[in-house]
Amino acid sequence: MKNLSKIIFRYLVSAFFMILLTLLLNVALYVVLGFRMVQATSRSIAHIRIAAEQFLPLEEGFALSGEGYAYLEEHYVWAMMLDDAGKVIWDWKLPPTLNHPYTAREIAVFSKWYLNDYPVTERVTDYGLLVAASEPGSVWKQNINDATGVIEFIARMIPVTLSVNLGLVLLMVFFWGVRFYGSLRTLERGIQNLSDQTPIQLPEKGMTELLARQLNQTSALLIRQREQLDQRDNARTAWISGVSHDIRTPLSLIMGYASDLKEDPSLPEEQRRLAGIIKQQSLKIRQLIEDLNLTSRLEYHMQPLRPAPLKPSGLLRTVVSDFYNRGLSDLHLIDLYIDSAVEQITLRGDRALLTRAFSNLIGNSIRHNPAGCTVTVTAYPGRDDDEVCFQVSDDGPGIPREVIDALINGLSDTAKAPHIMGLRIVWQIFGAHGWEMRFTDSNTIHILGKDQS
Amino acid sequence: MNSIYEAKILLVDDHRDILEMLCNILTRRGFLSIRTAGNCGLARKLFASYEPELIVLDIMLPDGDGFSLMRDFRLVSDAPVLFLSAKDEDNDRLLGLGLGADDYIAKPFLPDELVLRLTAILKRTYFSRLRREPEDERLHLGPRTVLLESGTVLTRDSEITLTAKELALLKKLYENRGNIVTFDALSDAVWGANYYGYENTLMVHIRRLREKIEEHPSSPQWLLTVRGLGYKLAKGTKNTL
Repeated sequence: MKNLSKIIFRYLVSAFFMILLTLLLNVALYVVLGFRMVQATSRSIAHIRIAAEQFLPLEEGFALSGEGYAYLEEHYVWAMMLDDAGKVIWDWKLPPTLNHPYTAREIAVFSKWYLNDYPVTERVTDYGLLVAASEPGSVWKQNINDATGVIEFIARMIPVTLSVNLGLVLLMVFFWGVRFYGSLRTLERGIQNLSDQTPIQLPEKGMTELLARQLNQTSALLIRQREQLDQRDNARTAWISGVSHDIRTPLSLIMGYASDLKEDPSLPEEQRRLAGIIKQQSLKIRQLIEDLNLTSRLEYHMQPLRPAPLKPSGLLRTVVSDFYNRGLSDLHLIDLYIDSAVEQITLRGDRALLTRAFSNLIGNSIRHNPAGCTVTVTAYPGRDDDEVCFQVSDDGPGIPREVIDALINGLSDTAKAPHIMGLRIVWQIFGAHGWEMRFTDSNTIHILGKDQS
Repeated sequence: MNSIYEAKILLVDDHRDILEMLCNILTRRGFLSIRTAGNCGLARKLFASYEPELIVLDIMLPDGDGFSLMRDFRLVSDAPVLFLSAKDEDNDRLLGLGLGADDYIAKPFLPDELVLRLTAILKRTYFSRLRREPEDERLHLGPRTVLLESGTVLTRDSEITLTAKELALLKKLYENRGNIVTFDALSDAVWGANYYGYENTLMVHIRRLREKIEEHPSSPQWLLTVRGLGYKLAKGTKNTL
């Protein structure tokens, strides 16, 4: 939204400057042309003046100097001098048809316009009226006789006209801008929806028709791909949950009867021991089924998080206590150290899943160190108020490098996958909470817990 | 019904094998009256004629589902219901318990667990009032005895009264006897969900409780501290972690 206003604003500003620049250029051109016109006019006045000055008085009458003739030759085609009665008293290259006395009416007409198509210039001298002609068609004569008021009015109106023009153009620019803005906004909403993965169907008309059509096509394509992906994910999750559902009933029977046989006093000791092994292994299969289901639901985001405020310190105490309460061999020890500042911290998270994650981590340490180990769990405050750093470490041989690599690189199809399912679930649970899990060495797992909001 | 073993139990599941196994298990544990149904139709008929006192229900049945079956049963009877289902999704669990089911067990299950839970439901439903009312439950701690209902400690020669908070703490520990109860769970039991900042107060209450129930409060035999985690009430004899 903000972007679009910026685009439109820039469009308006640039339009304004373009118009202003054009106007300024025009004014400059006008000034230059006007100046040159004025210059040309004043030159023609100067020519006739210089020519007139070349007439010299004689004792009787007058005569043109040699320079005068050269000057005439340079600038005019013919010239004549009329006396006050209109009679030709001197001439130079005057066409014979024009060599006749002129009436006052004729003089008035040609002084304003032309004499037989010759543009003529006049100058009053001491000897009479000097008339000099230029080449026909070389000068355009015009007479402007305007009332002084009109001229002043025009002068006053120039800035007004310019402003009105500018305003009009800006108004049109604005109008088109608004229309353009409208169609761009539709496009923008479309792009926004596209990035939110909402289906779009933009009207394909106006100046953005082509763009809208392409966006619609992109949207349709994305939706189709998304549907295919969802379908595949759903199929996989449904398949896993279906298979595990189908396994549950037969496994119930195996577990039920094995457990019954194990307790049956009429059976020999050895048979009961074997029944006990069947029961233990069935319990392992049950755990595997549950893990497989949870990991596939987490993988495809089908496990809804139920975030609620929780005290991480309390959660850790519960997890560790549960290990002791379920019965922990004397070979194993769980050391819990919670910084007193962590007692004050409350985070939002899914209690059941986080409990599961920490239990898995501690359980892994215990299970992979059957000869005994000390598991150390610590919690201390992070850099931000709502951050807690957790560390789970043990003094056993550590996590194999391949397992860490498989986990970080998300290799789920390797033969190792079942063995790291517990750790993968931990990784997924923390990931779903936006928590970071890192391995600094093979014996220590760091978790940065943040408020889930 | 004189004992829980006389309770009339109705088992509903579409797997014949499961029904057979459940019958075997329950019969062997001494339950006397068990009927089974493989579908909703039969379950409804038996419910009307047999009037069960506890129902074990599967959710997915060939001609309907356990949830609606339970809704129908609850219209006419308060008999407790235990769901036993192959559906292990949180949603199903919550839906079942939300409808008022007394428990929810996911398949596969251990027979012992099923029998324990079933027994607990029957005791709670039919025998809790009868048992508790006439006699105060007694907790024996060496030479001292605590009457849990009235909150009185009987020593050789005197009677000491527990405060409400001390009694709440002791009850919580007694419910989990032999297990560690975290500071958090204890504070929660006494002060409710917003227990933050009560750690020191908790220690004070525990000390006073020890003065009342222990022969030598400074070296307690019963109410034991588990460093960094919480407390636990020792079982019959002196017990250390």
